Amino acid sequence: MDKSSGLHVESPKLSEAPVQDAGRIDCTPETIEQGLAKLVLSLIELLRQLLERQAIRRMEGGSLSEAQVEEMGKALMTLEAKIRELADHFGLTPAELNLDLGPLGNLLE
Amino acid sequence: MPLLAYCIAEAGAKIEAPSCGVQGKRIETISESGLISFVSEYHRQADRDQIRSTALEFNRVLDDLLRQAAIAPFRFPTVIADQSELRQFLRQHAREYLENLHRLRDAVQMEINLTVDEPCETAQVSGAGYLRARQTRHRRLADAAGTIRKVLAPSVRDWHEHVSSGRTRCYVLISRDAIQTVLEQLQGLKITGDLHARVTGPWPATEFWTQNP
Repeated sequence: MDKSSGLHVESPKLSEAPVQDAGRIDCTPETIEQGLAKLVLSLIELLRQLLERQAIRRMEGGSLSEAQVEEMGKALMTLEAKIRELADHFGLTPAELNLDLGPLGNLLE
Repeated sequence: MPLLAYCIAEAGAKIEAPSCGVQGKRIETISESGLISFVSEYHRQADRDQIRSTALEFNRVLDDLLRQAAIAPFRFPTVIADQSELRQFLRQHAREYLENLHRLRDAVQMEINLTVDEPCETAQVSGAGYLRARQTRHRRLADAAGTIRKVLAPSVRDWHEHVSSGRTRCYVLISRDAIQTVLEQLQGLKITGDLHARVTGPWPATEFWTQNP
C-alpha cells in the first residue's frame, strides 16, 4: 500500500498559529505539586534525550560492545517508562514536559 | 494605563498600522532612534479563554504588519508601564534592532516540523532493539530534513535545525518574493509511512536574529 502523501502545508497566516500557553509552570497554591513535577520531569527528560543522543553517537562510532548497547538501551528504555509513569501520575502528557525559557525558546527543542 | 507592545520595525519602513488592536483599542506608534514600535492600551486579563482570544487578535495585528515590512515581534503579552519605558528600551537596543531589521528586511521564515511515529512497544523487546529503533528515527528525520533542504535550496537564504527526540524543527530563511514558490515546492514533496511534516509560515525571521551584531 502506498502510504505517501504530500506535506501538510498550512495556510500562511500568522493569526492561525496556536496560542502557546502550555509551556509555563503553573505555581499557584492549588497546582504547586504539578508545577514542580513538570519542572523536575522536564529537566530529567532533557537529560534522557541528551543521553540517548550520546548513546547513539557512541553506537555509531563503534565504541560500544553489543552488551553495552543492550545495557544502555535498557537503561534509557526504563528511564523513559518511569518518566511517563510519573508524568501520568501528575496528570501531565509527554508533550507538556517542556519549559518556556522566554527569549531562549523552549527547553526541549 | 499599561501598554501592550506588538513589535518593532525600521522607522523608514512603509507601514500602515491596523486601526484597531487587541481589546478594541487604537494602535499607536512610538518612534525612537530610527525605530518604530506599535502599542495599544491593555487591560490585564486572568481568564484563560479571554487571554487566548486576545493572543489571536495580537497575532492578527502582527500578521498585518508582517505583510508590509520586516518586524521584530514582542512575545505576548509584553506589557509596559508607559511610553517612556519603551523609548528607553529602543534607545538601549537600537543598534541590534536596526542591524537585524535591515539585514532581514526582505526576508521571512518558514517552519517545517518533522515528526516520526513512535515504534510499537511490542517491537522493543531488548535494550539494543530500543536504541536501534531510536537511531532509525533520528536517521529518518535527518534524511527527510536533508531532502527538503535540497529541494528548497534555490530559495533558501539560511537554514537552522533544532533536533529533539522524535522531532526535527527546520527554520528556513527565504526572501519575501519566494514564499509562493517555496509553498508550492513543499506541497509537491512526498513523505512516506510514519513520517509527518507540518509547514507553517511565513513568520518574522526571529530564528535568524543576531544578538550582538
